[in-house]
Amino acid sequence: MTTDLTDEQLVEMAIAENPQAFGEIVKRWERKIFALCFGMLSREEEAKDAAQETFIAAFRNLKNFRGDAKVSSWLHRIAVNQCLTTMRRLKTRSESFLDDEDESADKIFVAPSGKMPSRTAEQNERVAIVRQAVNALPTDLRQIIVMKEFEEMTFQEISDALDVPLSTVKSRLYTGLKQLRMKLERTPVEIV
Amino acid sequence: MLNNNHKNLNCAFAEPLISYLYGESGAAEKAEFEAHLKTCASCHIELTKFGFTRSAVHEWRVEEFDKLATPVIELPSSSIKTQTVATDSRSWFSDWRQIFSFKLALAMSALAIAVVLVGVTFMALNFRGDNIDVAEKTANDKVIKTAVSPTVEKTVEPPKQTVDTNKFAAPDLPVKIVNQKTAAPKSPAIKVSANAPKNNSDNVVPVRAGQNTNKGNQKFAAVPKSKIPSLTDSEDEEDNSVRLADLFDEIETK
Repeated sequence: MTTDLTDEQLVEMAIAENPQAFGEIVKRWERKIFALCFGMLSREEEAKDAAQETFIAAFRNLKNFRGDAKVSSWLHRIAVNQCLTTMRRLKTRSESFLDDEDESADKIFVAPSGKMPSRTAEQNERVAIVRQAVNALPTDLRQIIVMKEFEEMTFQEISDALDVPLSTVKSRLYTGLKQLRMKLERTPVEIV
Repeated sequence: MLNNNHKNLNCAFAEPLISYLYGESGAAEKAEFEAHLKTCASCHIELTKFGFTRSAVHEWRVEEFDKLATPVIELPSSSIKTQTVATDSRSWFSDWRQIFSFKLALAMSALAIAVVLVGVTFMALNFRGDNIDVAEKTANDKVIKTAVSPTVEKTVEPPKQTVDTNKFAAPDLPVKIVNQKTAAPKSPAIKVSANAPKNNSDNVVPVRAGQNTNKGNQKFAAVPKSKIPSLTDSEDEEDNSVRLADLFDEIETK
């Protein structure tokens, strides 16, 4: 019954003390929000916690939801803020939780002589380099790349979610991809 | 022929390239950009490299994210209860009551503070007033004790007989001056006031308590009776005026 309703209608029902309505919202958006959190934080546990905190915060602030905004944009804004908070906390906890990966990113993967590296190891190394390169991007560029590549959102959806013009989304994505390409080109790892 | 001179895509072809890369360009935009790609080597190279970059990110996603199960989002029951309670109490009456209970508590606190302040001030003033009264009383006691010496105290008697008989004996200053000038010679008490013997009760008049408390006590220890108008002085003045009136009456009759 609730599956036919829009997100905004579900929020109105949730405000009117219908917990199932908010459950439907969670069901619709949990995967995308988790993807965003994972793309931003690159860590499974932190991403899970951030997604959890995002929906808790949304539930507690249902009354503050503005009717003129989209639920997707509202949830994404909360999720991004939650990710930024988590990143600050992790950075404070250990100078920078990316430092370790910086060191690994600087390493050049060289296959042992006389022995063909396994595809899994090569893949893992490549993935680690890509993850590190994405993490090194500025937050606004990284956010849009993650929303596009992980959540597979359209430009218009990203524009609505971030409340920025469509042209801004495209230009940020272009800049982000360009910077990411330059970072990856500095590493002699074959990009499949 | 490809044009390799096009170095900066930010100016005109960044957005069409991104839209084309993700397959979100419209029909007209797509045709226009494909036509441009045939003549622009930079855009062609850029598009190819962006494709590789996307593949790398996609691989990262597939290898690390797609394997992960979606976490079960659990809203804590406390937050649900809080939310439910909050929505239950959102009637206008409860809101009004909350506002006014807060304001009432604030007002009661302010009132309590004001009462305490007033009480403290009142107590401080009373304490100070008591001190002043005590000081005045002690000063007056000293005046009385000094004014009424032990020897005189035994012999002093209040002039009871003059108070009842004289109706016009007001202790005003003009009357006193007139009395000193006109009726002083008639009073036999004035003659002995300056150097009166100690046991003469008519020569010393006791000073009432509360008079001249801010002055030296010794100056008012004993006031000579000659300087104080007696009740009989005003009686004499009244008698004189009556006599003049009688004279005028006699003149008129004559």
